[in-house]
Amino acid sequence: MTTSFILNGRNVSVNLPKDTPLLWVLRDELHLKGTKFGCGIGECGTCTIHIGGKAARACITLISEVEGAHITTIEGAEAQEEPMRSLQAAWDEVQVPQCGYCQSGQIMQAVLLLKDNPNPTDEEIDSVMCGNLCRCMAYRRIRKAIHLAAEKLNALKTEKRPEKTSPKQQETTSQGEK
Amino acid sequence: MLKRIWIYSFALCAFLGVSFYIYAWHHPILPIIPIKPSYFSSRNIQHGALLAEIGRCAQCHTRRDGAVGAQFAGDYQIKTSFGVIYTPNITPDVKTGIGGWSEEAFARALRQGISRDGRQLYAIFPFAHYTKMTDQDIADLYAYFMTRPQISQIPRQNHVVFPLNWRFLQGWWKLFYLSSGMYKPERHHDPLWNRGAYLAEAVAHCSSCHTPHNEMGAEISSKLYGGAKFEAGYAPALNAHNPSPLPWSEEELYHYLREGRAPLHGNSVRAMGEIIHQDLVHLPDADIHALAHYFADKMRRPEKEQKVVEAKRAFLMQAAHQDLEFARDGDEAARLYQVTCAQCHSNFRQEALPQHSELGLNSFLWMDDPTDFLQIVIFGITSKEGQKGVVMPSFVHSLSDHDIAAIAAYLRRTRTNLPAWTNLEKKVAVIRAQMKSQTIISQ
Repeated sequence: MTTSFILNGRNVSVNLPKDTPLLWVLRDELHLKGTKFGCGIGECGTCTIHIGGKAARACITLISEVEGAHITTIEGAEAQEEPMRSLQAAWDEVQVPQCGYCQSGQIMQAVLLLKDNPNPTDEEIDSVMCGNLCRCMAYRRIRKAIHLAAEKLNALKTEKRPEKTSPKQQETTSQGEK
Repeated sequence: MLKRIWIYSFALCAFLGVSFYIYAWHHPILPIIPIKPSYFSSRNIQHGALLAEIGRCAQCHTRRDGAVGAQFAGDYQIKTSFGVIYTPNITPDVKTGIGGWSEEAFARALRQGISRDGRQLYAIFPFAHYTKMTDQDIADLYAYFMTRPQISQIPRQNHVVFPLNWRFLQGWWKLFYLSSGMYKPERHHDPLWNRGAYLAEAVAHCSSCHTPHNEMGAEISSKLYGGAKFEAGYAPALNAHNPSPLPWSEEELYHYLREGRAPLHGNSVRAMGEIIHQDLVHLPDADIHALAHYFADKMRRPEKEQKVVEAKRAFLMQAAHQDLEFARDGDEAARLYQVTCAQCHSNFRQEALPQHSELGLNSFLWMDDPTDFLQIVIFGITSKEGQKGVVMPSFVHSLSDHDIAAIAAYLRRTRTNLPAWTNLEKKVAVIRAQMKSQTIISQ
């Protein structure tokens, strides 16, 4: 069965049995190895990708379900700018990964958490990230990095807001510049 | 004396029999030379196309079992309680289709359920609804059908139980259940309501699925829009008995019918997903508003209920906080839910995020029968259903019957105040078996 969808912004078409899990399509057919296999039953979160801007576990999503959908993998997530940039910066600063295997799944889930909830509490982080397991137990660093990313995002928002000046001050400034 | 009674009774029966036959008999309309497609204006054809989409003509008049047939060429198999019927060919082919039908014959079929040659059409054909269409709409439909490709196709033979295969007996059905004639606008309702009513009753025939039927195959008028159960699922009640925890406002209905998802109720799946994304998608916004307006009125609940809506909604949204607590306490079902489902389904803010399908608000969780809810977990939701482009994976391979039952029971217990569902594991097993044998059409 031929299925067409949009992968990381590009049109893609594959011809595979309709019950092929998306994970294998991405890894074996399309050679994007960033998405990992963890359990195969949607219970560990390692294979997390975005479909239609929403998190999905690629190992249990069948190719027949995604006709015409927009799919983003970790390889394409970078192009999404914020909150990805802040998240990557935070991940780097906190030095989150231990062995690194679960990390693409963690990041893909975390970026959506921040999109929906720019200031998550510990409880909210736990609830949303609960489905992403980390055998090396880097959970505390993951949570710390998410909080740090949220802080960075807040700082960016404050920077972007132009400072309010009175008309007189503006005049003086422009005259000064002359 | 006895002899006289017999003679009079026989005479009465004979008289009634003949009267009925006369009532049920309709004259054949002479076939016409097929009208050239160029005769019809493109505007009429386009409007006819829209009506055919909303009326779902292709769904019943196109073969889908085994070899997929040409559109409108008929031979679609319908299993009924009185036998198996194959729909006729409605392409403009002269020998095997309706090419020789005049507009008068076409209109008579839609309004009274009579074929061109005068035979009664089986009441499976929803002429009790189509009879309400305006003359212009019927004319537009005629223009559309007469300009389709001619396909030569003879449907398979019907197998209808004796004596119902005597078509003239359908006259009985019509005597009781057909009041033919155009839709009459109700004066005490506004034009938007009447437009919605017209679309729903005359063309889209929503009540065909959403009303229970009696043994004669007719809608039970006292239970209009009371909901009906099918093998593939349940069409919920669209009156005050609708099971959703929050009432369906006009705004919610508009989102549902236009986008396929209502933020405070849930997503359209399977049959409704198809109807919304393939058929209703062609309707202009004004018509979707009309349908929303009409059904919001139909589903209106008593005044006092309206007032507690906000409080109820706020209460239902608290669930995400509870889940984490229960999971930490060691509730196995809560943990399973937390790891498997929470990353997509938790909402911590007061507004239900559209992409987070707050399960406490979801209609399926509040139904007496868990089948629809279980089907979602087992089949998932494809990119073409629900919210377009968004997918819920199918858990058929990853969760056991026990697991799915545990999650369903947990949600029922923590989100609703309704009695627990029974026999969940068995029901999961049944749906799984149906999926394997593909008796349920999934995408």
